[in-house]
Order: sequence, then C-alpha cells, then structure tokens
Amino acid sequence: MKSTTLGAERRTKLAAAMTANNLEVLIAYGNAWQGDYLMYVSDFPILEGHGIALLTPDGKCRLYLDSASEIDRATAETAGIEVRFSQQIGRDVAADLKARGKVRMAAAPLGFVPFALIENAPGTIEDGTPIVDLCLMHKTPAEVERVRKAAQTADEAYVIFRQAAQAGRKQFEVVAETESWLRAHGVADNFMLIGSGGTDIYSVTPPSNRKLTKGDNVITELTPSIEGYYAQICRTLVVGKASDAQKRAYDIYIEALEAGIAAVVPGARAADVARAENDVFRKYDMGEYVTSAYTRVRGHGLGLFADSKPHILEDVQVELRPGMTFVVHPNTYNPNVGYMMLGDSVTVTDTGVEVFTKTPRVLFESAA
Amino acid sequence: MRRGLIEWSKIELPETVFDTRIAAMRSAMAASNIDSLVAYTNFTRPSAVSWLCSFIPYWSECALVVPKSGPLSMVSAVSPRGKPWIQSTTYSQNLLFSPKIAPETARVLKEALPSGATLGVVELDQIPAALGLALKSVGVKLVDATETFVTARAGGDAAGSALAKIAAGFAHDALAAFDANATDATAVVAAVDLTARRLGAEESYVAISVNARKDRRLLRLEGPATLADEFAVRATVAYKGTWVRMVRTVVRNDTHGIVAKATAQFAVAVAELPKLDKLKAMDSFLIETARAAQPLEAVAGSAVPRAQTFAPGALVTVQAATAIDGVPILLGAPVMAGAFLVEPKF
Repeated sequence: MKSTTLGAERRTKLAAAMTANNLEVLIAYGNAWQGDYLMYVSDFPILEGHGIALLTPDGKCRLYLDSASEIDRATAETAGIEVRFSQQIGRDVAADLKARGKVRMAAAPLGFVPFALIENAPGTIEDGTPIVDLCLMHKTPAEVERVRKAAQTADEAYVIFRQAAQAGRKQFEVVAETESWLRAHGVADNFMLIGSGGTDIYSVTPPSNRKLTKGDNVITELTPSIEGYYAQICRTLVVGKASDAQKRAYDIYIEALEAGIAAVVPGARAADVARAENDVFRKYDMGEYVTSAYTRVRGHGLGLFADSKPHILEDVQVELRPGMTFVVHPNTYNPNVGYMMLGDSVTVTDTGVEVFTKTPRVLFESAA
Repeated sequence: MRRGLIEWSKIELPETVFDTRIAAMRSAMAASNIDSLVAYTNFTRPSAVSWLCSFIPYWSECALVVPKSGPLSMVSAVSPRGKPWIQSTTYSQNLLFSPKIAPETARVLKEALPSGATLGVVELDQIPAALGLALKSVGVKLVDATETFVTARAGGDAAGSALAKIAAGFAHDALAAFDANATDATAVVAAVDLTARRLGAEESYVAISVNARKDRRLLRLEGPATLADEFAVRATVAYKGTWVRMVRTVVRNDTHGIVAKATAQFAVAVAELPKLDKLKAMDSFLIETARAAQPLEAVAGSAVPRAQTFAPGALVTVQAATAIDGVPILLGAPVMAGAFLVEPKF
C-alpha cells in the first residue's frame, strides 16, 4: 500500500522551496507519459487524461482531472487532497487562479500545461520546473528506499523475462509474461521496451509481432515502479549460444558500465559519468557509436518518472549529490552485432555509489 | 501496466481507410474554412492522430499537420532512430524529427501558409502550452478545430467498427480468464492483463474493487489484497487505437441470479441510447467515447455536468452501477447502435 506520510513529506519539502522562492501557488501538470511533477505534488499516479494540481505553501493541494474514470481512483489513492472533475481543465484552473487574486505563480513543467490555462491565466505564470526538478532529483531516504525496492523487483522480473524469451516466442508474448508476473506481485506499473534481431536493430520499441530466433540479441529496458518510484535494468540476452563476436562486443559494454559506475561519486558531474562510459567505446574505436546518431543518453535519473533528470550526457553539468538515483546504461549500437543494452540502477551515497541492481553483468543466453 | 503490441495491420486498416478519413477531414476543413489542421498526440491523447494515420507514440510526442492538399507532415520528438518503427506503424507521410516539436511545427506552417490563412487545431485548449504559443507565432488565424474533427469522424467506418468489436472481444476474454473463486486480487489482475496482452492488446489497464459492498470504486491495484465475496474488475483495453472498457462483477453464491438481472437491466438501458432515462435511473452511470484526442472522453454521466452529444451509432463505453437485494453490481461494456459489441456475460 502507498505510504501517506511520503506524500506529505514531499509536499512539505516543496512548500519550503516555494517559500524560499516567494511563490504563492505552484501549478503541477501531469499525464500518464510525464506524471512525476503531478505525482510529487498530489500523490496521484495519473493514467488517463490531464491532471493539474495547485499547491500553496501551507501544503493545501487541489487536484483537477479531466478523465471521469480517474476521479474515483484519485479520491482513493490520495489523502488530504481536494479532487475536482473538470471538462475544461485549462479554463477551470485559470478561473481558480483568478479567484485567488493577485498571486505569484509558477507551473511545472510549464511547456506542457494546457494552452487554455496559459491563455486564460490572470497573469504571468512563471516556469517552476527547476524548483520541482531539484526536489525530484534530491531524494529523501524514504524515496531512495522505494527506488531500491523497485530495482530489486526489476532484478526478479528480469529472471521471468529471460525464461520467457525463447526461440519462437513473439516479442509481445514475452512482454505479456513479464507484465503479468509484475501484476501478480502487486506491481502497478512498468515501463518496458524491447528489441530483437541483429545489425538491423537500432533501438528498443514497444513489442511487435516479431518472433525471437536463434542468434538474436534480445534487448530490453525493464522499469517497474514501487509506490510510483521507478528503477531500471537493461540487459541483453542471446537466443541460443552467443557468438564470439557477441561476447567480445558485450565485454565493451561491461567495461563501460563499470567505468561509468566508478565515476559516480558525490561532487562529480553527470558529464563525468557519461565521459567515463564513452571513453571506453572511444578506446575501442567506437566513438562514433556514442553520438546521438546511435544512442540517446548514457543513463538518466530515476524516481517518479522512468526517464528523469539528470540525463547522463557529456554536456550535462548537474552535480551528483547523495540521494540522487539514476541508471547508468552505456546502451548503443554495435556495427558487428547490433544494438546492445546493459544498465544498472544506482544511488549516490555520502562516500560514493550504491548499486541497486544485482543481476550479473553478463551476456545471457536463452533456450534456442 | 500499458504498452502492449503496437503494429499497423494493412489488412485491418488498409491505406484506403486513411485516404477516406483524410478526405473526410479535408471536407470538414473546407466547410469550416480551415486551410491547414494540426492534431497533437502523445500516448495519453492519441486518438485524433491514430484515426488519421494509425500512429500511436509509445513515448514522447508528435504533431500531425494536415494541409488542404498534398502529403501530411508529422513532426516527432522521437529520436530519428525511431524512424523505421514509425514508418512501420504509420500511414505514409512526411516525417520530420525535432526534440522540440513546437518550433519545428511552427516553422513548417510558416513556410506553407500564406498570411490570412486559417489554422485549425484539434483540441486547441488542451494542447501543450509550448505548442499553442508556437502556433500562435505563425501569424495566421488560429481556431479550435475540435468540432470540425468530430464532424469528420462522426460517420464512423467499417474498419473502425471491426476494430471495436475485436477490442471488445479482448476485454471480454480477459475478464473471463480469471477464477471467480480466487481470493488473491493480484492473481485476478494478472490473469486479466496476461490474457489481454497475449491476444494482442495495445494497452491493458485493469482496475478492481476488491470489496464492492464496502467500496465500489475501481482502483489500480498496488500490493496484495484479498477479494471479498462481491468484487468487480474492469478491463480497459486498446486495439489499434480503439479503446473500450468492460466490467465484470462477481457475486459468490449468486443463487438468485442477481448479476444476470442487473446485466439484463443494463442491456435495456443501453438499448435506449442516446436516450439516457434508464441509465439515469441507476445508481450512477458514465458514457465515454473517442470524440477527438482523448480515447475515452466523458460525454455523459451522473457526475458529468456538461453532457455532450454523440452520434446514435457511435462506439461508446458505458459503465453503470446498481444494487439488487442490497448487493452492488458494477457494469460496463462497449456499445454501438444501442447494442453490446460483445455481451458482458461471464
């Protein structure tokens, strides 16, 4: 069951940040794609439609939803929050703000709030994203504990995935088995993508009808959540026996992951972690494959969103501090064998790093 | 919880279906004096774009531009590495990639539209502010084109009806897959989810009232829970852009057949649609449909203050709650032309 104290703790932390920034109303927007800002403020893991929460520094929170089916769930899954159904959510929230008189307000993430809210707001809505981002990134011990538990669940679910990923199975059937196992273990959500094949595969996507065949790389990122907090595992398995080329290629990813994790220390920058990973590829003349043409990020934050800040990239100068949680994943394309994935969830500690993921860093093989 | 099989079947949705839909869209645009139309999509509001070109983003966001004539353009925040996947799941169009879709969409429109043109936006109020402000900067007349889109879509088509029937079948089979004598709620949710996904559901979302007598709310399950003698499960299932919901109530020791009685009452009520009198006589009801971008938008219901019209033959999902002999029964099924697509009997 979801902790009610965790939500109150989050709102207290955010209210303090609002006071420090002289903000009188924080507008948090969310949908099922990008729900972390809304979840942080309102405790509500939205699944359908838009959600907008209004938070004041006294900790009072009003939640607007435009999906009628979400109303019941919101009243049950939040505590101390006023829930309102709205069929014109942007306009209704704007009217609510008008009724509050002249107040200093900010929205997070500003660019995603419904256009009607911006057009009808009683004044300028500032960008509150950086304020909430800091709260999202710098987690309390209770939040870190949820990510740790989610990582443990990811380890367990990957065992199920490996068992399911056998020759002849279709990608969506493998995902179905994994998701069902998660539901059977009370896990409410999981962000999961998959890919299978060889040098024709450049990324992971939702599951397709494609059958797993002998020799395929089967790549996945599996990202279950516990009380809204996500942790991720990335691994590659080969259907049948891995070839020498696949094994040699994967050794580079293992070395890169180890280098990236070794760079996770308090005071380091996200860029340092990315550089440590990428330098390994460059050492093996694979520098081209750590550019945006072949890979997106070398890891990313974990928490109330499966793809949070900071992004682990060589130009991201976010300082790593204790309590930050993220995945380090040197996933990219290899021209000899195709796209490979390997990633562990970690947290920054006072002295270095704690690796949550316990699954061995090996190239797995499944029944052909 | 979500993101199952996403694919474009040219057998179920041949290209001619999209040609016809785009022609209908352009007709409606002409009638509304709209020169170009923009529809926004992310995976929580995918319905307008998927109706026009089958595309459903599993992540990220896109804006589709429908000009008066010529090819459609889609500006996608998905990485260019996703191009083969997009091409394999989407009716052919001009694909553009940008991490920030708002300025790129505005650029495309600035190049294409003369001053004095009218740009229509599906759900103008609802699109992200960044996109709305960028479209405003194009310097043409900006209008809400939601009703124009609704008009274009209103007639429905055989392909859409067929998909709805398949989705309804998935929801039914998923709800039939669990053991009514089970006491572990997670096992029930897992069975429903597994069945829907194995059948090929694009989305699967299971909600449950573990003790309907105590609390009728259908919730997403997190952690263990024990089922009471009366419980209800709702399967929300999508198949190729078509979303439906179905609800099954279990009453153990239902010696008087009260679930069957309630289901019969429900059938009579939905047969009267779009009249709502009999649904209003129940404890509560909700009707949802895909008018524009939201796949299941509330159009009428006991807690819906502003009812909206829907075509008599439109696919709607109806949910209702009643009580017989003091036992609460939750009901729900997709309905078309006053009839269940698949009987909600288990």
